[in-house]
Amino acid sequence: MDTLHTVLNRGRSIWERDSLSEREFRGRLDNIKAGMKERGVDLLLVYGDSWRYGHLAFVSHFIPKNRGALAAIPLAGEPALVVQEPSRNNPFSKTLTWIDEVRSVGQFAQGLGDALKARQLKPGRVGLVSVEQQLNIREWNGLMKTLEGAELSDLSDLLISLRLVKSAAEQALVKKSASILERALEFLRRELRAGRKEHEIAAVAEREARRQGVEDFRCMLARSAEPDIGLRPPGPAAVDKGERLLVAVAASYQRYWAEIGRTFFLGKPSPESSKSHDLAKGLFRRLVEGAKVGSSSAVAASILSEVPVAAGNSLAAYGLGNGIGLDMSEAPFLGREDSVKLQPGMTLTLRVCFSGKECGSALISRPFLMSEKGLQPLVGPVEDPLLIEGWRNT
Amino acid sequence: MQVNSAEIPRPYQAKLKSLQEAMKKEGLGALLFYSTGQLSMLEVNPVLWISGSLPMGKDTGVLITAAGDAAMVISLSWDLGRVRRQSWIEEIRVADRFVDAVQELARQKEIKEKIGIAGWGWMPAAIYRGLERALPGRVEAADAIFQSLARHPGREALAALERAATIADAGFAAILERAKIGMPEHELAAEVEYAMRVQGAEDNFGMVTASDHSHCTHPPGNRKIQPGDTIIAEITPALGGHFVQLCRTAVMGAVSPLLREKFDIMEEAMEKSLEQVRVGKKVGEIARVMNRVFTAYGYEKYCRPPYMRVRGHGLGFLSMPFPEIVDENEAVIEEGMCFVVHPNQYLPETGYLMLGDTVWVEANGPRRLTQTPMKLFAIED
Repeated sequence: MDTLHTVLNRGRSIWERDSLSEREFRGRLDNIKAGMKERGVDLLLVYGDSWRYGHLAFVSHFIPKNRGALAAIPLAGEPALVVQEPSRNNPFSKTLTWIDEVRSVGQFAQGLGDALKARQLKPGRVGLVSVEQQLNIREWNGLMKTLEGAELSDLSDLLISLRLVKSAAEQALVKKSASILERALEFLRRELRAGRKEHEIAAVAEREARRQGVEDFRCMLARSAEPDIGLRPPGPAAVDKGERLLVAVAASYQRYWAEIGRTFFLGKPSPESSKSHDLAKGLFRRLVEGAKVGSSSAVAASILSEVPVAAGNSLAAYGLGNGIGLDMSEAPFLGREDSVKLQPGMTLTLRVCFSGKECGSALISRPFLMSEKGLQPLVGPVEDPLLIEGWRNT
Repeated sequence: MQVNSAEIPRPYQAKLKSLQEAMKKEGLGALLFYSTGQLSMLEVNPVLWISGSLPMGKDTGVLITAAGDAAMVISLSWDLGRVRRQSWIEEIRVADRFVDAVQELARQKEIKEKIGIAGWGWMPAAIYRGLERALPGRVEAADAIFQSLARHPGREALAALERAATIADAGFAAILERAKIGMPEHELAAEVEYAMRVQGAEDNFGMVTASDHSHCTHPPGNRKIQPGDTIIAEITPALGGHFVQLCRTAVMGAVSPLLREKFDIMEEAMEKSLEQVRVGKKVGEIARVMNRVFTAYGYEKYCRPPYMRVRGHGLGFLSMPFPEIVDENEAVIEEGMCFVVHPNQYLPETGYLMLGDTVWVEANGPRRLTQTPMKLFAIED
C-alpha cells in the first residue's frame, strides 16, 4: 500500500551481516549475471531512490537516505555503486553495502563514467532496471551521453522474477519486521483513550518500532467519523468515544518491510460497525483460503463480485494484497490481471480494506509466508477488531 | 473547470495571478505542476505549493491553464477525500497513467500552446519522455517560473514556522534528557523522533550521531553511547509544509579544554556569519565569513570537500529562497526569506561539530526561530 513518503530514511541504518551475509548477495549476483548472459547484456544498471529502492537493495543492500543510487553490474567483474551524495558521506555509505566500490558523486553520469573507465568497459548492450522509470530526466540525459551507442533494454522483469520467492534469510527479516509491528501496535493500543490526538497515538507506536531498529516506519489511519476520507497520515485531531479507527502500520528492518492493519472499536461497536467488520472478516477468510500454491494471484479478485459495488471499488483501490519484502508493495499483486502463480517461499500481505460513506469501513491486513501447506501467518491473529473499553480521561 | 476566483483562498489567488502573468510573458498555454511522490527537504514541492495538498502515491500533477482553470491528477483513488479536504482545486481526477491523463486534460481544455513543467528537475525520464511523445514539441521545463515565485514562505507561514521551531527545540531537549551511557544511537534517535512527533511534527530530516570522532552526521546505527562521546544532531521537523532546522552538539560528560577551544571557533563563525544576514547582502558572504573564521585558525583545507562545502541552505516544500549557502552564491538576501545558517565543521582534533539555526530575515537582521541556546552542551549521565 502506498503511504506518504518521508524526506529521509532516518531509522537505524546498518548492514546486519548476521541477517544477510555477503554470500547471500553473491548468490543473487550469480543469478543476475546468468540472466544478463541469457539476454546478451554486458552491463546492468539498477536504480533506486529513497522512496522506491527494492531492486537496488536486492543487488546491493544499500538504501538511499534522501536521494538515489545506481548499481552498475558488469557481466564480468565486480559491481560498483554510484551514490548521489556529498563525498564526506562515502565512509558511512560503505557500511550499508557489501559492494566495495562505492562512488559518491554529484551526478550519476560522472560516477558511471568513472566506473566504466576503471574497467575499460564500453558496453554494447545495457540492461536497465528502474532507471527510466525513476531517474529524473536531467540525470537520465547525462547517463545517455555516457552510454552513447549502447543498445538499451528494460530488464525489470528479471529482477522481479528473482525477487518473487524469498530465501530463508529474507523470510526471517520479513517476520522480524512483522513482529516489531505487532509490538508497536500493542503500544498504540495501550495509548488509545478519549481525547488523545492521532499523532500522539501514532508517535508511541513509531518510537517503539524505531527502538527495535527499524529503518523506516509508516502509520496511516482512517476514522468512521469522517467516512469520505480514506487512510491518511495521523493529524492533530483527537479520537473520540464510539469511533471506529482503521490503523495501518508498516516498517522496514534490514530493508525488509512488513505491514499490519487492524480495526479498533473505541467503545461498544454500533450494529453498523459490527456488520462492516463481519463482512471484512469473512472476505479475509476467503482470501486466505483461496491463496494456495499453484493458484493464480488474479483469483483473489473473485471476492469483489460478492460485495456491494461501493465496497468492491474501495477494496480494489486499496488492493487485496501483494508481495512484501524490499518494497512495501511488490509482485505478486493479488486480484490484478497480471497473474503470477503463487509459490512456496513468497511472503505476502493479504488485505481487506474498505472505507467510504456508502460502504462503511474496516481494515484487516496481515503478512503471511506461502508454504506447501498453504499460508502461514507471520504474526498473531488480527482478524478480530480490538475493542477498547473503559475510556479514561487524559 | 472554470474556477470562481472569489472562492479561492487569497494566497492561491495571488499565486494564480502571478502564474497567469508569467504564462502570458513566456507564451505558455498552461503550467503543469508535478510531483513524483518522492519528497525532499531541499525542494519546493510543486503540487503542494499550488494545491495545498502534499501528494501521496506516485505521479501527481496540477494543470493550470493560462485562463486560470485548474485541474489535479492523483494516483490513489482512496486518497481523494484527503486531497479534496486540503485543496482549493475542485476538479480532481484519479489516474493510473499520468501521461494519458495530462494529454486528455490538454485536449479537453483546448491547450494549443506550450505547457511549462514546474517540477521538471524531479520528473522521471519515463514521464517526461511520455509527455514529449503525447504532446510533441509542446512541453518544456518551467522550474524557473515557479521557483521565482516560491522564494518566500510568506508572513502567513510564520505561525507554523514558530511552532516547528518549538518542536525542533523539543527534539534537542530530548537528547539532553534521554541520552545515557550504553544507550544505542538509534534508541536516542527514536526518543528525538517521539518528542517531535508527539507535538505534531509531520516529518523530520533528522540525524543523531554519537561518536568519539565523527566525519559527518548520518542516520543512527547500533553504536552504544560512551563516556566522552560527542553527540551531533541535525533536527529538522516539518509542520504545515514548512521545515525548521536546528543543529547542535552535546558531550557525554565534562567538556574537555580542547573541545571547548574548538567549539569557541564554531560559535565565532556562527556569530560573525549571522551578522551577514542582512537585507541586500549577498548570500555567498555568509559562507565566506564562516570560511574566513576557520581559515584564521588554520583550517582552510577543511572548508572544502571532502570535508565541508555548504554553510547552510534553504528549507523546502513550500518555499526555497536559494538552494545552498556557498561562496559562489550571488543571490541577494531579502526580507521574509527563511533559511538555515550552519557553520557545521569537521576539525581534525575533534571530529565533526554542529551548530546551526534557522533564521527569518527581518528588515533589521535575522531572527532566530528556535530558543535552544547557541552553545556546546554537556550531558551528565
